Amino acid sequence: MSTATSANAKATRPATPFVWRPRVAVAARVLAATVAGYFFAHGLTAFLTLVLPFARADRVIAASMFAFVAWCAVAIYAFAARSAWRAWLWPVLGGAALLGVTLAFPQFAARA
Amino acid sequence: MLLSGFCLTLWAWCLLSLGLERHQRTVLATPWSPAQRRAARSGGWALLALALAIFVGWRGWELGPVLWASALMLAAIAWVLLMTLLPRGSLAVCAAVSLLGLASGWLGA
Amino acid sequence: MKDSLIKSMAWLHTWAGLVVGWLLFVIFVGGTIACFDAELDDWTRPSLHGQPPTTQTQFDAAFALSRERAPDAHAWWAHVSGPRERGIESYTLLDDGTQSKVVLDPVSGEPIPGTAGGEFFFVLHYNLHAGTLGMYLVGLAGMLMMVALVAGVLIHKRIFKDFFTFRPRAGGQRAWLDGHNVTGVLGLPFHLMIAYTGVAIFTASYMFGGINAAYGGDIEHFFGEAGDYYHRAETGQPLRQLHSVDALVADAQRRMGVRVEWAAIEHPADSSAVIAFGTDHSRRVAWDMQQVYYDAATGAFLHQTAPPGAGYYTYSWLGGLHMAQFGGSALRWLYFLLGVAGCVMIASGMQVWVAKRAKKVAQAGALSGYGLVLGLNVGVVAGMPLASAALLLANRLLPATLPERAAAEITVFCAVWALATVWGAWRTRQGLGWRDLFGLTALALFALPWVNLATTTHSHLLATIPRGERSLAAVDLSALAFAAAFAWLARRSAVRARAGASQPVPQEA
Repeated sequence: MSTATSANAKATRPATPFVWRPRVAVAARVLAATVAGYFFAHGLTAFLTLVLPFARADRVIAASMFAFVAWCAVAIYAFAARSAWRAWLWPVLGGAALLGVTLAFPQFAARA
Repeated sequence: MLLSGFCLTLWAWCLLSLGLERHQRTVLATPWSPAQRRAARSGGWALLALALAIFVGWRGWELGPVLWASALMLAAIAWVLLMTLLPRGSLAVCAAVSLLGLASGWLGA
Repeated sequence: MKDSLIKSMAWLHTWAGLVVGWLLFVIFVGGTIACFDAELDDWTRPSLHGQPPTTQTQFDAAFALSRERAPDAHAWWAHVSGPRERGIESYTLLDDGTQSKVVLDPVSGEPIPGTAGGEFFFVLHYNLHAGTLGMYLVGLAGMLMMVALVAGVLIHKRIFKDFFTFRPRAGGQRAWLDGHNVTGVLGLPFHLMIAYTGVAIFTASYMFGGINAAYGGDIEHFFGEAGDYYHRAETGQPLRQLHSVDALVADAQRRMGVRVEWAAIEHPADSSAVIAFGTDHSRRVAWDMQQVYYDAATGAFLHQTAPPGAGYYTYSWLGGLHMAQFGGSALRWLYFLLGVAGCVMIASGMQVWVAKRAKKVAQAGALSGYGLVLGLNVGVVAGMPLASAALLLANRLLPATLPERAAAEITVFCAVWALATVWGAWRTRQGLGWRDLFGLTALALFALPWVNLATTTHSHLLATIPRGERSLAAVDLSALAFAAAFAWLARRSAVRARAGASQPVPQEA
């Protein structure tokens, strides 16, 4: 099987040096998925609480529960994005924009 | 009632897989034509819908779909195991389970 | 990241799955067993078997005992003797968060020997018995499961063509991957639902953007508005007398329109104390969260919760869908079997990882990353079922008069699991770890009905089957069925170990 032959080949090659760049890129994407993803979910929760046409408690519940789906989608995007930089950029920008708009209308967000 | 619904979904998956050439060849000795396979697939979809109707009729619209979806998934897994471990005997087992379902329903279990 | 979406999603699926795999397996086993937590609670209380059932509530007796144990508690609450478990569970909660539990005989109102019961598996499932930190870990595991599921679907190119494909005789990685795909794909609606609803139950502990925007961060205000719950501030004056709680049950049932399943007293030492009644969640998919409140001194009716709004009802519906308290035993069995499929999916997924790297694993030896994976695989996947069987055996074998009996059962669980992990990891070097632990589990489960027969009078199969006590008998019968399954697994592992040993495998240097 191909796994066996490549494993054998690797066993006879000298050990590969610990390469930083791809590992940093992976770590960056993991952090993007968790931290940037959570930030985006946080901003989206706030924004949906602002705009959904329901009573206050219902807005918060709907927004908060949908946020998990959004977090999951951003986590997937973090690894599908063309670069680790993009994996961070769009969720952070998006989250900041959503949060910013919400903070601009505090009374409307807190309406009963 | 649960057993009858489960049997229906089991037959549904059976027909749907017989509609695929690769599985049809494992289970049945004589090969089917594309038209027969299409008929099997349609029959399978029809049985899935019928099973949903039965579960909803039995326990209503809130509980019925949940029971139907659960039975569907378990029947699919059961059919795959049956087809894999007992290819030629799988249809016979389905028939036996269905008879058991009918008998238990009739006895009011 | 990698050349294509498929490759990066494959990487994500593999590593998200591996990082959380063992934790997820524990959560899944705990949750699967917890489908029958009430039935197991009942089974672990043999002193209550053989009595005629009673519908008389014992709240006053329960709260009298609570006053002895915790007069200054933040709250006391107690359940009724119900169709799924006949013992009366009575809890106290102190201001510092300490919770204690006593179970009472429904006829006499006296405490019975303690046990970890089925509730042990339920608590293990949602917080790993590790409080708030454990709850967050479980939530994180659930999120990673959602990500792994979505990534898994994205990489499964032949998802429809391979829908019914299972090739166990192909052996090695192919067989494990097929098994993983069959349980994963055919059970996908369940897995997605369980992962999402499980995480969504914790919504208020995770997502704060909405609570901040709409309530200025006042989460109590949010809960109150969502559920229309009743609170009143403490007065600082002592409560002079406590009105009979049992006497209010009939009125509470009339107002709610359903039976009372629990009663609670908040701030029972203070004159502001309130008696609350609630119901069970067996009638509909959504949790039935309605409550009625009475003054604790006079018994005067204070408040009834309004019907839930659309948002709270949706939350209750999704949470209820997860917790399987509805639909009777039929639904619980379906969820149980789907849960087993989920456990198989997780365990087989980790086996794929190992099988794919078989050569590297064999070369690496015990003290390596690969060695750790092998050890954890055996220890968690084979060790936890053994520990669970040991807990049930301990329930029957530990003396009834043992103080801290529930804690003793849990100690047995932990000790057996730890020992099993060490033994399994050590024996893995000869390829016998799986066989040993699966075999021991089969023995332990087979022994359970016999130990039951030897140590009880009304609880074993020869007594429960003639009495028609299906739930009690089902525990013993299921133990026998699972014993057979584990025996088969042990035999397969032995066969595979012999086959592996006969092939030349590179030895450690």
